[in-house]
Amino acid sequence: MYDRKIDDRTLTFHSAGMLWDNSVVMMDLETKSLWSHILGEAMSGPLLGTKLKVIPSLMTDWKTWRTIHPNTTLAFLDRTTREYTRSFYRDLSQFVIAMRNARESKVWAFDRLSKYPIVNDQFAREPLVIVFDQKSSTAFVLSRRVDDRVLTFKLSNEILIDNQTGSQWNAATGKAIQGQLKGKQLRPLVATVSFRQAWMRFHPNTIVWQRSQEH
Amino acid sequence: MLFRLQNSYCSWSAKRFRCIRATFRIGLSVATTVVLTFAGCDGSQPDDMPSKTIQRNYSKYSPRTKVREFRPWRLFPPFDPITEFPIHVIEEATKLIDDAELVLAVVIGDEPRAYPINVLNTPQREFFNDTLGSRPIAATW
Repeated sequence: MYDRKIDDRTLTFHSAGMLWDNSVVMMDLETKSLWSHILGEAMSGPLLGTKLKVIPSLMTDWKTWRTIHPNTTLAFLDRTTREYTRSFYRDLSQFVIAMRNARESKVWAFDRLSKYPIVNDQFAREPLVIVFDQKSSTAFVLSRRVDDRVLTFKLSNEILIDNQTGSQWNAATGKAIQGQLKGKQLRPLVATVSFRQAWMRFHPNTIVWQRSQEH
Repeated sequence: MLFRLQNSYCSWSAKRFRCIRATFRIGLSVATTVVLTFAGCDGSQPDDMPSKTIQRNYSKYSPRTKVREFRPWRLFPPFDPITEFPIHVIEEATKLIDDAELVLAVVIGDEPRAYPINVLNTPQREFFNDTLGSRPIAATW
């Protein structure tokens, strides 16, 4: 999910009808620059080198989403395929949740998250927690920073609880629902669900999370 | 944005092209391995690297040290941008989409919106130009 605004200009994107290393190339109507879909960066044309801002988004199933946000709207056109349902994730080892910045990137593999559905970790000095919902194969990635303090979390009977105050949190929205920190909000972070192979091709020096790295 | 292998792009010419390219790649990687072996370097990480931090060869098929040069190849003429599509409130939406279908979802301000992956797909449907919470966004995965 990208922000279409670059400085004062709003761009309109469309498919360039091209592939780069098996990844889609997009074009903007306004300048005809070519953009890498996976890197979010203009690779040629007037905007060469410009990077799009990524907006935090979530890959989940419709039931999970409408339960979290009962006031949601849905953008819809006729389907072009039917293959993307929960069963798409039958082989969890193929998928990762990934983060990156200009210098580094890190992935957490779905098959590991399925085994350890809560991970207190960090990326680029940002303390974060990943909560993995097994039913929908959804990875929620939230900052662990609340005001000036950094919390650590555990799951107890599927409820997210911080070790510092014992407050209860909703992993899907990041809101504290009970306890001392009730009403506080954990900020959702930009993280992307990707095919492991595809991510590794475009981010060759990616760090792969392993259990021993947990903080 | 679930970056994926582009199965949907399998036109006949694309398949043929990829077959040729795959053959070329395998040949190239074999050649590289041979060269590296003879050079006394197996291409893995240096010994002084802390073993738990980086695992370069996670993808055992095509470990690379840098991203390929930008050389896109054309499969189709450019597709028209998608700027108009119906937006449904939840009562209507639930009739259109199954609970198990995957969506790319976003909240901007107080406005949540979902884009079904089964719709945001195939070459002509990769990008939805939308505006949510007065912010122009490109829904893609």
